[in-house]
Amino acid sequence: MLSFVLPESLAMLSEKAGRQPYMFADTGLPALLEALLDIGAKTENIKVVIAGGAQIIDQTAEFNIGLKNYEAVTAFFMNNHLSIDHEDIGGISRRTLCLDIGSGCNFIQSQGQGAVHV
Amino acid sequence: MTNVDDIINGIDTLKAIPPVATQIMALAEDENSAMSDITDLISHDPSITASLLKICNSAYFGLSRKVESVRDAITLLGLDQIVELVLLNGTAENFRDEPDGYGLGEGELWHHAVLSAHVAKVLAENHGLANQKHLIFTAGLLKDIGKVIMGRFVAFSYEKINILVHSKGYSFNEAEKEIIGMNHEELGAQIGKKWRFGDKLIYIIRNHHMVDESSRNNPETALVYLADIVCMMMGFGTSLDGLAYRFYGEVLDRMNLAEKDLQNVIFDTGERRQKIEKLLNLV
Repeated sequence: MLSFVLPESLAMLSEKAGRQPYMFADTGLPALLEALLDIGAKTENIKVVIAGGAQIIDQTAEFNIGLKNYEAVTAFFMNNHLSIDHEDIGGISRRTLCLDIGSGCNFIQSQGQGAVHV
Repeated sequence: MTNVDDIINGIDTLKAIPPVATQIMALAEDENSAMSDITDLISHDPSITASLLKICNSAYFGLSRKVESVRDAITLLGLDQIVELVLLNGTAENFRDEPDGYGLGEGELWHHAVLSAHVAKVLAENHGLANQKHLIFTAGLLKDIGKVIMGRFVAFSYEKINILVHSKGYSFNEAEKEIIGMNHEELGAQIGKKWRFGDKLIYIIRNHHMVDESSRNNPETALVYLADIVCMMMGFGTSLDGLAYRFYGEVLDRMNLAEKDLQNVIFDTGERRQKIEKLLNLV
C-alpha cells in the first residue's frame, strides 16, 4: 500500500525528492511495483485499488493537487499495462483505506459513510 | 434555526486558557519586551513552569543536561520554542476530547490545530512575516476553537447541513450559518472576545475561511487560511466537513505563491509531521 501526497518529484528540489520518494506518485509508485515484483508478485495477479484525490470547493486547476495526483496515478498504471480494478476518487471527503495482509481484503471508507469492500 | 444565545452560552463550558499564555502571547508580539519579561512571567506560574520543565527534560528534546529552570529552558531551546510550548500547554485541554458533530475522533481536532499552527508559522517565516510568527502560530492553533462548542449543534442539524453541502453546493461553514445561524469561525471569534484575545487574533479566527472578501487582503489571515488548506488537502483532522470549504486562488496569487510553492509547503509539512506528532504526546 502506498499513501503519497504529490504527483511529481521533479517539481521539488532533487535533494528533497531523493529523501522522501514515497511522497510522490512518480517515484513512490515505481518503487512499490518494483518491491512487489521483487518478492515474486505476478503482474497478472495484481489487483489495483485507488482512492483519494479529494478537492477543496472551487480549487482551481493550477492548484488542484488532488486531481493531479489522480492523473499521475492513472498514467502510471496505464504505462505499466495494469488496469485499475476499483477507484473511489474526487469529491470533498477524506478516505481511509485498509488492507488485511492475511486475507488480502481491502476496504475503503469515505468520511461519513460505511466501509466499501473491494 | 438554533437560538444563537444558546450557542454563545456554551462558551462557559470551555476550560479557560491560563492568563499566563495570553500574557506571553502579548509580550512575544511586543518588540520592546525583553527575554527577562517572559522568563519572569513563566517563572511566577508554578503550574506552567512544572509542565515546561517536564516537557523540556523529555527524551523528545534529547538535551545533554537537565533543564533546572525557565531560564535554562530558554537558553537551551530558544525563546520561540518555549513560547510555543507554553501556548500548546495552555490550549490543549479544550481540543483533546472528541467533539460532537464533526465526526472527529479523540485528539483529531488537536492534531489538526497543532499541525496548522506549525505550517502557519513556517509560512510566516518564509513570507516576510517572521515578526508576526507567534500571532500566526496562535491563530493557527485556535482558529477552530469554535468547533469544540459548535459540534453539538452540528450533530443536531447534520442531516440538513449535509444536504446543503452535498446537493446545493454550500461550503460547510456556509451551511452551518444557514442552518444553525452561526458558523464555527464566528463562534471562535466570540470565544476570543470572552477570553480577551487581542483584536488581530480575533480577526484571524473570525476570517480564517475568508468568507469576508476584504480579509483576503490581510497577509496574516491569508497564511493561516493557507495552512488550514494544506492540512485539509493532506487529510489532517478533516472529518464530516471534509474539504468542504472554499478555495480562493487569488489569495495565493497575492502572496506570489505558485503551484510549485504550494507543493513545497505540502512536502515540508509531510516531512515535519512525525516530529510534530511526537510533540503532541508530550503536551
